[in-house]
Amino acid sequence: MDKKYTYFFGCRFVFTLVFTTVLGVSEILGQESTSIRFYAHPGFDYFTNPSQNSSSPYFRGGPLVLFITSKINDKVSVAGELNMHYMATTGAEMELERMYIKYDYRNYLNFSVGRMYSPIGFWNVNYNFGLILQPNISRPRILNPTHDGGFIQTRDIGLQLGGDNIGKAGFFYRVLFSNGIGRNGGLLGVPYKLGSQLSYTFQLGIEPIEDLRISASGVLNDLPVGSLTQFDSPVPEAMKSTLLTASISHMSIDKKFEFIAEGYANTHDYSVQPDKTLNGAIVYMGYKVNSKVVPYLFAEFLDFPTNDAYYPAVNPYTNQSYSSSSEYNLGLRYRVNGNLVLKGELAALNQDQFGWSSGIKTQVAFGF
Amino acid sequence: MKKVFSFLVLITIFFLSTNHSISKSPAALELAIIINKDNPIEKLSITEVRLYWMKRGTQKSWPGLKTTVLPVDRKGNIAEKSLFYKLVVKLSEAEVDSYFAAKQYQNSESPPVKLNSDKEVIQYVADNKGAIGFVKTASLTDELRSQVKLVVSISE
Repeated sequence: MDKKYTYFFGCRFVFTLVFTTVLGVSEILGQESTSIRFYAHPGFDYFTNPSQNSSSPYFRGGPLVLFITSKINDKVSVAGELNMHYMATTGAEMELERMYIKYDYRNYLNFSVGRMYSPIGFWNVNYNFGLILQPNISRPRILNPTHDGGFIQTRDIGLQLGGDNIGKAGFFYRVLFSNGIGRNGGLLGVPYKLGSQLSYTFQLGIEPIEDLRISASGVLNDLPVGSLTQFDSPVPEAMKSTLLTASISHMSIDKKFEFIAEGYANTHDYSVQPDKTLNGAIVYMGYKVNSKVVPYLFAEFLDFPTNDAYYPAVNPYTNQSYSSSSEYNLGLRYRVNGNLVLKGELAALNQDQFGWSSGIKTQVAFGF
Repeated sequence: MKKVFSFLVLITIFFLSTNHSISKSPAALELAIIINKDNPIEKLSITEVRLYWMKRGTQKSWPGLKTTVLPVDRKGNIAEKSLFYKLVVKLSEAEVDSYFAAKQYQNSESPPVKLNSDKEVIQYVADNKGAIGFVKTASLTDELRSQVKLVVSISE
């Protein structure tokens, strides 16, 4: 309870700091380019599960996300993203998703310092909580944040080097030196958890034609005994965690056909126990009928390792147990305008412990 | 009867005439695409204007200027904006808003500055090396034209 109290007020402090810093800088420099946006995406789900003899109509409130960007000068920009949400298990929470400053030296070299999304695949760095931009309703389960049942760490604090559109192949890269697993809970970047090793993340890719992006990523974490996982529990023994991803995507504002396909393999290499690997894959395909209407298909497959002591029996935030799953969604997206998008999906979800559920999902995603 | 006949003849002559003021269509809207005077680029095709204004691919910075492209837009629902979106950007306003919102969310890139008048656009382009904007050609008086560089004109 004390921790939650501290965390909550710590978040308020960070929120105030982010808000006043960005506004203050903007005011001082007279910048016209400071932008403050809010994103939200409430919705309604109705699922039935014959094997559990249950049905569950459910309104989803979703978070309120504050997103601020500003150009300090021609080369330097800052961004902050604050996620305010309510969890049934932990109450009201604020979470700093991003807070970084970026220096664009040239197209082939930029530096970012702060808290940012790990450059793994396409989905994780492009959508996240601005769901008005996301082509479907729900984030892939494998990329969910830890407090929402997620499996891997998707954000980190560190220094990132990157570059885009290099050469005719449109080569791009990201290299992130960061605190790594379990060392990102410290507000303002001060790690309060154990572990002494930095994490290394790299992404290499090409964009041979506009908006067709092909990439591979890797995240390496060395976790000695005593390190904590992202679930706040100690690692079972000294281990290495290696996440490898492959991604191909074509998401263009002016092309009819859009798709994303990504694969994930997160291996826990234990010093004594046998290795365990979590595998995941997501596929999205959509077709723009016109500038407003896009029918689409989204599927996700998750092969969860059995008896991997790294994961808690249940997620401490959601009280849900981890398991393998497969999910299929047939959806329709309707863009009312640039600030309002409506989505509806027919969904089928198969989880190991619950069997098949099916139903509908709806979402009103907006920005203001 | 004679008066009626005369009236009909006059009406017929009036509408058959190709030079009367009522049948004349309003002057076609012509846009001038302008950049900063210090930008070494002299001419741009409509496709290039689109790429630079949308900051697509490698067109995020100006060659020879090493400055980020600063696209300038107009506030409100005005004819020159509609024409620019239709002929150059080739997207609806909602799509343009979504496109720049995505760039902002993903890369902290600022969306286009939206200004109130042609005069403001010309002033902004004159003051910022990386700027590119559109104004009515008629708004470019000799005095204002000397402050910016016109790279291409577009009309319906």
